[in-house]
Amino acid sequence: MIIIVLPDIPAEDRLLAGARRGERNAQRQIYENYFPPIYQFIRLRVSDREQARDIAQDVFSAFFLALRGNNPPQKSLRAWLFRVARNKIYDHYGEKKQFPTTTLEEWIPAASEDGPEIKFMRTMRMEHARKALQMLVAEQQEVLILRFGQDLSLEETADLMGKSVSAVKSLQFRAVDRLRQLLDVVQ
Amino acid sequence: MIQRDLLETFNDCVNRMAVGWTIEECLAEYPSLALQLRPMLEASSQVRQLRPAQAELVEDQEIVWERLMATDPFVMPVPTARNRRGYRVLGQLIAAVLAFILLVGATWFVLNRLILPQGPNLPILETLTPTGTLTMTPTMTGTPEPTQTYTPTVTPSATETMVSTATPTETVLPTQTVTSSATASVTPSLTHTGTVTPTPLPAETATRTPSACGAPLTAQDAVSKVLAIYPNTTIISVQEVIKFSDKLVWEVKTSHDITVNIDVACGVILTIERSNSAPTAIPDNGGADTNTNDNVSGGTGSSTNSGSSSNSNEDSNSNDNSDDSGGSGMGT
Repeated sequence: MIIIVLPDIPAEDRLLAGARRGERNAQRQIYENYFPPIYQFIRLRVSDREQARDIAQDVFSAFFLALRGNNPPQKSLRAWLFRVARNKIYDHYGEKKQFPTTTLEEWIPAASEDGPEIKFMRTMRMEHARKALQMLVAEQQEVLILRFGQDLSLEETADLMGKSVSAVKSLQFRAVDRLRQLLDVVQ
Repeated sequence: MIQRDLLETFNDCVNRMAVGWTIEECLAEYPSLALQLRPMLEASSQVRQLRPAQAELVEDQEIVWERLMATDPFVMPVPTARNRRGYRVLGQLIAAVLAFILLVGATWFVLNRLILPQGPNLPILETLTPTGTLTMTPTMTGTPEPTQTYTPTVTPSATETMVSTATPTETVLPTQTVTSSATASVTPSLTHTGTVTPTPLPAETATRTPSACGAPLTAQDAVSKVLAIYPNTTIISVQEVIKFSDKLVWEVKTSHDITVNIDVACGVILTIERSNSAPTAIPDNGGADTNTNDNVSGGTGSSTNSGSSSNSNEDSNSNDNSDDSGGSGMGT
């Protein structure tokens, strides 16, 4: 199953307004919309599940605190949440930013209605992809996860990573080209 | 150039696949680059399919939500307007309580600083020696002049002896010798009230020292003296006045417009004045009143006081003291 979160700005604005007024349903709705992508993004970078859970909790705690404060999310809530999650991950790993290379081991391919053989082939292909992704540098892993794993736009990814759009465009191209080479080697 | 086109085309296909396009549909759009694009789009598609287990995702989503609910401050609703009013009142109450505590604390602190602790264990840090000169200028306030009320109490005591010797002669010259001595004791009573700050004024004493003539003359004595001279007249007024160079005299006025001034101290008649004539000075005889009064009816009203002790005219002793009102209105 592919989770794609496309922001509905008017609906998102209404939810944000309701959440700021303290409406529990609006808060719950925002949480249900954005927890899966945020958690997936964190889980791709953090090997320990419990730690990923704690970081996800910190992200949404910061969000609710921001709703009550003077600087709530204004433009893109999704970009805001991913930026907070990215900062939390960097806080978790400290200044060295040494991301683990085994975070993808527990990942499994999305469920499908295919038969056992096709499912096996898919699983094998995912295993190769996971190994190839682990061999990329952290910056390339991040841009691939954000662009293809979470379907963030080029602008959102550039804003999140603190790079220009053209730099992100080049970075993702090099990362995919390198991943392709690695997949050939792994297969 | 080809690399540049491939980069832009790949990015375009990634965007299209994000909204649901398939790899084949995207390659159909760019058939010239399909050979290069296919492996890259397939690699990105594999990354797109990387997901954690759905069970793990759902489980962790509920766990984190429960934790957020448990940590109530993170999900507490934003205070409404009504709540904000309540908070404002509560804040004012807290501020008032804090202000009261501060006031009490400051008062306690100041009192503790003012009241020096007395204990043997306290070390003497410094001994201060006063230097400099202190100059104080007193300022008197209040009423420096006391209010005095002088009420003399006069106890009259008079003794009068009159010896008359008359010798009838052809010329009627009445001779009258009057010896009078009057004593009076004056008990002054002085009431002194006043407020003087800071140094009270010394107690004032007032004494009336009798002169060498004897006891001062009383008003009754003065009236008696005048009536002795003018028995047929009526005393209009008796006043104690100061005349003749600060001399205290009894000013006795009669119904015949005669004013007799008698020295209070010695009892001597100083002057006898008529309203239409100059006063007649009567010499002081030293207090021994021996008056010879020659009253001549119809005279000019002049009075002669010889001062001699007696007049030895035995032929007649007539004291013609008729008050001739038909004349000038003055009998002498």
